Amino acid sequence: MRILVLMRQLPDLVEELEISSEGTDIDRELVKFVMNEFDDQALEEALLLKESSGAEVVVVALDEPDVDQALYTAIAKGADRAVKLTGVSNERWMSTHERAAILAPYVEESAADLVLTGVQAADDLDGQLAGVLAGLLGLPHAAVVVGVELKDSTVLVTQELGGGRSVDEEIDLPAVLGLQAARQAPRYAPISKIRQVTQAGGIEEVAAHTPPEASATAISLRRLYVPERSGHAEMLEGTPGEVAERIAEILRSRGLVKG
Amino acid sequence: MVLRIAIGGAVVLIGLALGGARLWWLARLIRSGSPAPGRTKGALRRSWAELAEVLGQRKLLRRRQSGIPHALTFWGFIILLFTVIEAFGDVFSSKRFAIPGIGHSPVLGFLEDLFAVVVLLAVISFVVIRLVDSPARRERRSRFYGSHTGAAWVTLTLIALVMITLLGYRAAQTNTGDFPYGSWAFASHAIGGWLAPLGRGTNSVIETTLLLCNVAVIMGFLVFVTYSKHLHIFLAPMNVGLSRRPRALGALEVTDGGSGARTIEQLSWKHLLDFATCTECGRCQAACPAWNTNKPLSPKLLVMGLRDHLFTSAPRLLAAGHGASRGSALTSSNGASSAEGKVVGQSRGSSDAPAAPALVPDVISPDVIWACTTCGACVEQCPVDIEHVDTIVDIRRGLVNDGKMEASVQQVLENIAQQGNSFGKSGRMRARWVRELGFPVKDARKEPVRYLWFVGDFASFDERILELSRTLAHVLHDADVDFGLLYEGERNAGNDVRRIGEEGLFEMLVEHNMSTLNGAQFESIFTTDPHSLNTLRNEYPAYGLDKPVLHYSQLLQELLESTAITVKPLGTRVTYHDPCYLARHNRITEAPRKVLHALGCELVEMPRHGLNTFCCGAGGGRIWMSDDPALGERPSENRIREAVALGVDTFVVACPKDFAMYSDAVKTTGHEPDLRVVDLVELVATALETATLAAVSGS
Repeated sequence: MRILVLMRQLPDLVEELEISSEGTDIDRELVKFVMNEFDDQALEEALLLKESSGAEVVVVALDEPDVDQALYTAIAKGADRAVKLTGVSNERWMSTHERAAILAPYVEESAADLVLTGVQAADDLDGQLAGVLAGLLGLPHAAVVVGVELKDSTVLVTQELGGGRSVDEEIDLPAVLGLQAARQAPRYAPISKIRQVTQAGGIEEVAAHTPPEASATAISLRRLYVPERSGHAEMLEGTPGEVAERIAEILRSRGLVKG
Repeated sequence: MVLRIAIGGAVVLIGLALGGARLWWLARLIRSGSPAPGRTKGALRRSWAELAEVLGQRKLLRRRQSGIPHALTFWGFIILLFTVIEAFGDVFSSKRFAIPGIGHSPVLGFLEDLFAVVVLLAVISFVVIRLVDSPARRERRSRFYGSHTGAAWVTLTLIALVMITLLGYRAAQTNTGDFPYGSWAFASHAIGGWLAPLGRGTNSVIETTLLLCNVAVIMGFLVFVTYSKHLHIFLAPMNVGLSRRPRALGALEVTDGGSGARTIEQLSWKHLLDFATCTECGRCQAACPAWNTNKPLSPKLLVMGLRDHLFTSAPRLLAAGHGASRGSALTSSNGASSAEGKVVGQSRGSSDAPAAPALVPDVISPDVIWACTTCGACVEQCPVDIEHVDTIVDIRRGLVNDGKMEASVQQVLENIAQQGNSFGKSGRMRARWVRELGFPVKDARKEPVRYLWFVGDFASFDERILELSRTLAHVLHDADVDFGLLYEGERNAGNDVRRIGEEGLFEMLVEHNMSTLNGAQFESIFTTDPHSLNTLRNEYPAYGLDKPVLHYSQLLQELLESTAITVKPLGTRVTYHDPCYLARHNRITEAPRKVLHALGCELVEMPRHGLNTFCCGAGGGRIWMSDDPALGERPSENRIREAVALGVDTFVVACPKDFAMYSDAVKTTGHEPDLRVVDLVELVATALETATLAAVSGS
């Protein structure tokens, strides 16, 4: 049983992001990159599956800024192998479709039984990666997954549906899952362990298959904006009844409710 | 006579055999511990400690009520060693046995009698102390709570019996003509006077009986001692002699590269000796901020629990021999160890026999280990120099290396690893507070400065506290102090990271800060945070830092004394809270007081001040852990109540974490209207403004 965990590097959002002079990307010069937090959930779930079933866990990432640290951290946490796909430009933003197209051939070659990745990322709030990848590979897919249990040739998946409801379903392997949350909080990798792993090296570098240029679905980006500050907050005071009445009035005046 | 020798000889042989076997067993058990390097270095300092703490009873005498009777008993037993020799001589050689070289000096006779009586009186005061502070009645508030009180009563009884039989046989000897001392042995003669009417024959029987009883009680006592907490009679001098000097505070002990202790095998032999030495006196417990606010940690109960575990683990430890300790041969306590790629979490974890129970949670609850603020009150108090904090942090290291910690602590460690600060804010924002100063602050990485200000996380990122940083910057600027910052080159100094038990992260922070410091030009460092001060001053030298490290209170004191700052007296009545890491760990208690004095403040001391200060509850990473409100008040709230009772309206702090903790605590205790929490530098700035205003209006 081989589980692939696909990881993405994102600009650390504690930094103040700035738009580059071209106006179509953020300024990547000074920004620090960190692992997508949902991918950390996917890794945790994979490690839990490894502990319960002895599966092999392989983390896979594109050669993006600060990716080595994320890969070594994954090994320190218990991943068996770390693969870095090289030969892809890491100096610009990459659309999720493009990313999926680069990952798909590797996933296919790797003979993985299960592919896990974060349900979404700061630059993929729609959560397309798992779905698009599954589509390219012709594999079953589930998103917003909060629990995974391995069977012989299937996987039992708990999927959050929203509104407090969730669904359990059995999916044939291999499959691609977008993880919302692992069954437990991501574990801690002590720095001494990460340093020791880093010293030992062991990241496998694999040349990525470059996808055909700009497919039909590719987005052409014209300009990035910093969100403009607008509007203001109004504090509603009074008894709950008065406040409710005021809310209803606002909603009516904006045409959001009838009557 | 033959009977006397036979009985006496049998008693002595049995006693020596039983006691000796037990001591041999203990020695093997303690030696099975992991290495503790550097425990015999500095013979002079260690000899001084023996003189001051053992012979001089320095730490015991801090608590007068029990310290004085203890010191008298201790000195009494040294004098009474002579009577023991004499008693054995009387049994085995001849009556009127004299110690060679000393003989039957009347002074010796006097001292022997005097101390026999003094020790009896001391025993009475011990009885009173134990009755007044009875754990059965006072429960957690008693320092004897959880101690083996039964053994204590047996000990007191045995001591009393030693003295009674001693005085008894000596008194009888005055009537049989065998007593070698004249009237200077006042007590023996006085009691002899009461026994005289019984006649010479009866007195002779009393003499032999009580002499044999005396030898028997002494031997019985010796055997009992080796099986009870009274073992400290033998072990305390050893433990004091082998403890860290000058004290087990300041720098933390790191053995085996900081991989941590998961089982009793992995604790160092010094800490095993600590456990065996504990007298269960409870001075640590009485001073502990965790115990005093209903938390599950008592340093004493922790040590007792580990001792019980040590003893019950004896078959396994002794069977394994000496080799089964930490997997690595490397035992240096200096930094550059993890770079050698040692397997943390495996070297010590997997090489153990599966039978060894985990210290946490099998022996100790994790709550106990995490309740510690590392304030050092226990270490400061302990009369036998047990090193509680080192043991607790070593156990924490094992937990952290296995990823076992509270989620909030994990988050903070990840923040510090990623961003270099506990707030999880961008490292580039660290010196943003400087922007609003209205004057430039030098970048010590680019131009030489006299003082390098190591600001620390709280004073750089916490909204309330960076105001105080600005105030300090203004004061220094106005006084023409040549200072600079490391700007975004500074990272968390790592004091609390190390005390949480994340040794690898600590080393990473030190390496980063040292490389920045090495690229900066400065004469000395000053810090806002006493925690940063502690690690920079006591731990960074192992990584190459060789500049003096001051606290800003010391700098302010210097400026006031050199009249670089002139102030107008404030005349405020204040109390001052000593930060643990300033006062206890680094002995800096005078500077802030001198500043207050120079400001014309009337300082009203809290009962717990100076080296005996009471922790705010933030140290050792506790500031990042959650408090269970069901466990009662927080240490900071307890402290605020102590201050309020003084009737002052100003509570002065000199630590950013204190400012945060106490600003909250005055609110939660409802004392916000009557107690103002101010930082030392705020008072200086106020006095300065007043002075400037006065100068302006006067001109």
